[in-house]
Parts: sequence; C-alpha cells; structure tokens
Amino acid sequence: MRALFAVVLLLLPGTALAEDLRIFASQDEVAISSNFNGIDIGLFGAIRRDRATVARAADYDVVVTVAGPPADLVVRRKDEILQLWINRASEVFRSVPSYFATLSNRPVRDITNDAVRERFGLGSDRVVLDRSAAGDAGPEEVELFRSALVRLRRSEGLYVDEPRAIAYPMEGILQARLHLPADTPDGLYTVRAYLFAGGVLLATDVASFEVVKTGIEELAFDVSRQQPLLYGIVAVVLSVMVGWIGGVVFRRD
Amino acid sequence: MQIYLPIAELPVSVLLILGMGAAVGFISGMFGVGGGFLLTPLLIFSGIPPSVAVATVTPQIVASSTSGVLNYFRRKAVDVKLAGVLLVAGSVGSASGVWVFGLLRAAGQLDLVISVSYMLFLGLIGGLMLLESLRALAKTRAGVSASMREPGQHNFIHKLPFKMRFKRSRLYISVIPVILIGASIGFLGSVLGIGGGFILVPALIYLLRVPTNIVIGTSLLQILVTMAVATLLHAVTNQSVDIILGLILMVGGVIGAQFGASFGQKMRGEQLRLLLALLILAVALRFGVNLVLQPAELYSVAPLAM
Repeated sequence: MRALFAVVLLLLPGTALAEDLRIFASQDEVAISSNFNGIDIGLFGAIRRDRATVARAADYDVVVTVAGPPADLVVRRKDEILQLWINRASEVFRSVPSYFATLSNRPVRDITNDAVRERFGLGSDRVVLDRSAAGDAGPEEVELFRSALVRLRRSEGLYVDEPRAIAYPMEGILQARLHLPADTPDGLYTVRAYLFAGGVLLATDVASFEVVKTGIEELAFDVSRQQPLLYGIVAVVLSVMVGWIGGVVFRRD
Repeated sequence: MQIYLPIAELPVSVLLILGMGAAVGFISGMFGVGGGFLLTPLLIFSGIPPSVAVATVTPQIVASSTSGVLNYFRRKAVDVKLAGVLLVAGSVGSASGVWVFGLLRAAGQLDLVISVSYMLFLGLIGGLMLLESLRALAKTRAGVSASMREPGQHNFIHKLPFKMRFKRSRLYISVIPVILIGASIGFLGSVLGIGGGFILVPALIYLLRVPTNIVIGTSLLQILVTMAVATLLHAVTNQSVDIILGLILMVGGVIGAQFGASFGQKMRGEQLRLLLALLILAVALRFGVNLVLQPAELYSVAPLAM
C-alpha cells in the first residue's frame, strides 16, 4: 500500500522529479510490405539527473514495456468427448495487448515488488489482468485460461520477456533491441519506460510507433474490409483469368 | 523467398506454396478432380488458419476448373442444362454453407467440423472407391472389361416425380435428386473448401447415370460456378479470402495440372482410381488421428468474432 502511495505521488503532475527519463523508438513507422518477415527496432533512452540530486547508492534500473494494439480474444480448451478432442469451455478476454514485450536490465522481480509490477503491468504475466466478461467460471478456472493465453502468446513470440535486453552503452544512456515477429499485428504500439532505483519508481516516459501494412498488402487488406464485394469479384475474375490463360497456354488438343 | 499474406497476416515461403499448388495440381490433373480436398488440409497442416485456408481454396478451385471446363467445352462434353440445374441448387447450398461457416467460426467449432467432416466424407468416399477399384481390377484380371455404367438398370431415383429431359446426357429424370445433389455439393464446398468433384462425379455416374464422357465437363462447370459464388460470399461475410495466397496456389496448380493430366493418360482407369482412393483414405486417416489423440496443447487463442 505504501509503495502504491509513493508511486501515485510520483505520478502526480507538477511533482518535482529529481530524475528524468526519455525513451525513443528508432522509427515511428514499421512498414509491412510483401517481404516482411519480422523486424528488429531499436529503443533508446536517456536518464538525466538533476544537478541538485545527490547520487543514489543503488544503481538505476529501467523497465520498458511495448504494447501492441488491444484485441478481444477468446481462449478455448479442448475436452475429450466420445473419444474426440473438442473445444468446450472458453473464456473471453477484452482489450488484451496483441503484442507485449517487457525489456529490462535485470529480471523485473529483482527490480521492484509485486504490487508495482501488477500496477504497471510489468511482464507478460502481469499484463492480462482483465477478468472474463462472461464471468460464470470461478477465479481458479479463469486463471487457467489466463495463464494459457500468456503461455500461447509467449510461444508464438507475441509476448516477450527479455530481462537482460537493456544495456547502458554509457552513463545516462540506455539502448535495447526489440524484435517484432513476422505475424506481428498492425496498429499503434505504445512504448512505456520506467526508471527505478532501489525498487522505487523515479520517472516514466511514453513513446509510440505504428506498424502499418503498405503497398499491395495494405491495398488487399483495406479492400477486403471496406469493399468486400469488390474484393470477391476481383478474386473471382482473377481466378477465371489465371485458369483461362493456363488453359490456353497449355492447350493440349 | 518469403511473402507476406495480407489476410492470413503471416509470411509464407513462396516456393513451398507454389510446390503445394503444383503437387495438388498434378494430382488433380491426373485424376480429373479439383484437389481442394487435398489442398485445404495441406494449407491447414502448414499453419494457415483454417478459415483462411478454406476460403482461399475456393478461388483456386475456380481457376483450376476454368481451364478444365474450357477443354470440355471444346469437345462438347458438357451438359449445360444439367449443370444449370445443379448450379442453381449449388449456389443456394453454397450460400447456406458460407453462413454456417461463419456461425461455426464464431462458436469456435469450425476446426472440429472441418476435421470430422473430412474424416467422414473422405473415409466414406475413399473406402467406396477402394472397393470399387479393387473389384474392377479383379474383373480385368479375370478377363472381363470393367464398365462404370451398367445400362438398363433403374433405381429408386427413376420413380421420383418432376421429370425433366437432359438432352446431351440422354436422360429423362426427376429434378429432385439433381437439386439435392447440387445443393449438398455447394454446401460442403463452401464449408470444407472443396470443389466436391470427388463426390459429384460418382453421384452423377452412379445415382443419375449420366454418361461418363459428359460427367467430368458437367461437374467441372457446376463446381466452377458454385465456387465462384462461394468466393464472393466468403469475401463478403467472412473476409478471409487471401488473394495473394490464392494467386500463388493457382499458378502452381495450373502448371502442375498439365503434367498430371499427361501422366494420368498413361495409366489405366482402375489403377488411377485405386491410387486416388488410397490418397483420400490417407488424408481421412490424418484428420482422424488428430481428433482422437490427445493434443499436446489443450488451449487455443482466437480473435473474438463480432
């Protein structure tokens, strides 16, 4: 409780901060074009210390989270019915980040306590906290689904925890490399950086970048959503043309 | 070489997809079937989401049947009237299929229905074909020539009302079975991403007794139109037709089909049918095994449907 109180105090506008933190992404826009196969982007930050502030005994710790556009997801579990494995129970999770990375200079649990981790969603295990909308299942049951969601997203590389990703090339400068996988969702990504010393949150900063489809990918996707009938007609005409051309080119009689 | 698929939202290897298209095209050219029943599972097993796989195989079937239909039209081996009745019914069937597909996807049971239906249909058809071709092979070995159509035999279908004359097929039969066959093929086609040729051809031969030389051209025309309708409807309702994936498959398929067709002409009919039967049974078995064995991961995540 006390930790939370301290955190709230620090976040209040106008509070004089002894330390200042800035975070930047190496690009504002990541383009998904036809040869997109995942990408690494750089994250850079600076820690500035007020001249009046005395040097701290503890070293600085930095945690950076990157959240992709939120999505409503449904998690299903298979059960054995009549010898067959069939989807049965399900839980809905609303506004879950479609991508979530937590980068830090050392394991987040060594940096700060559970309450702070929970409060700010530091770590992929802390991010999906929104309980099911359906709500007829008990908390233990929901927890099973929640942890399955996190586990599955981790194995797909969409939830990432990198406890040693942040490096300090020189004093006051931090850098990290963020990997976006090939099936990374498009939309706005929010980068949040948290500066800690001795487990206490000193400063935060927010940046963002956007993942967008470009070229033929953007065109095909947009048309498929905005003009689905046109998209269907184009698909049919194209198929008939390919078939016809093929039939003419390879005419056997 | 990788290419990013705009609707499936993941990159795939162009060569792998081209190869799959070509391999299935080869088989479809060899056996005179659309090959959807092989292509859809191949795509699913290679990681394409089932909803995208099913919806994208439909335009690929349009492409492969177009070149076939043109061929049979030149040889005048198409019963346009019969195909017309089949495809009006087929379009209704495929519209209801697309609707059911959307419902199943929202309920999270699409994969199950696809797997169970594949297992049942392919198992049934494959089994029947296996028996039939073994019997035919035994007959030829005994010195009797095998014939698919035994004339003069009448079944219950010829007692049904609403008779209609189909000139080219030299048939005077009730439209009820024609409509039922057309509608069920359309329905299955859009739910399972198959053209249905491997069901339609035997149905036309054994149930309606359409002459063998007319059957393939007619069934291809029916498949072409119902799959075109299914493509449109999938694009509008489920928005899961991936045009890039479809194009790669089509190019591979068209090329593969040419080699398959010339290869198929060198083989005997009964042997071809035996091979096709084994192939169909193998796919059925693969689906069956997946359903019965306990999966390593019981949970799955999907976007919530609106």
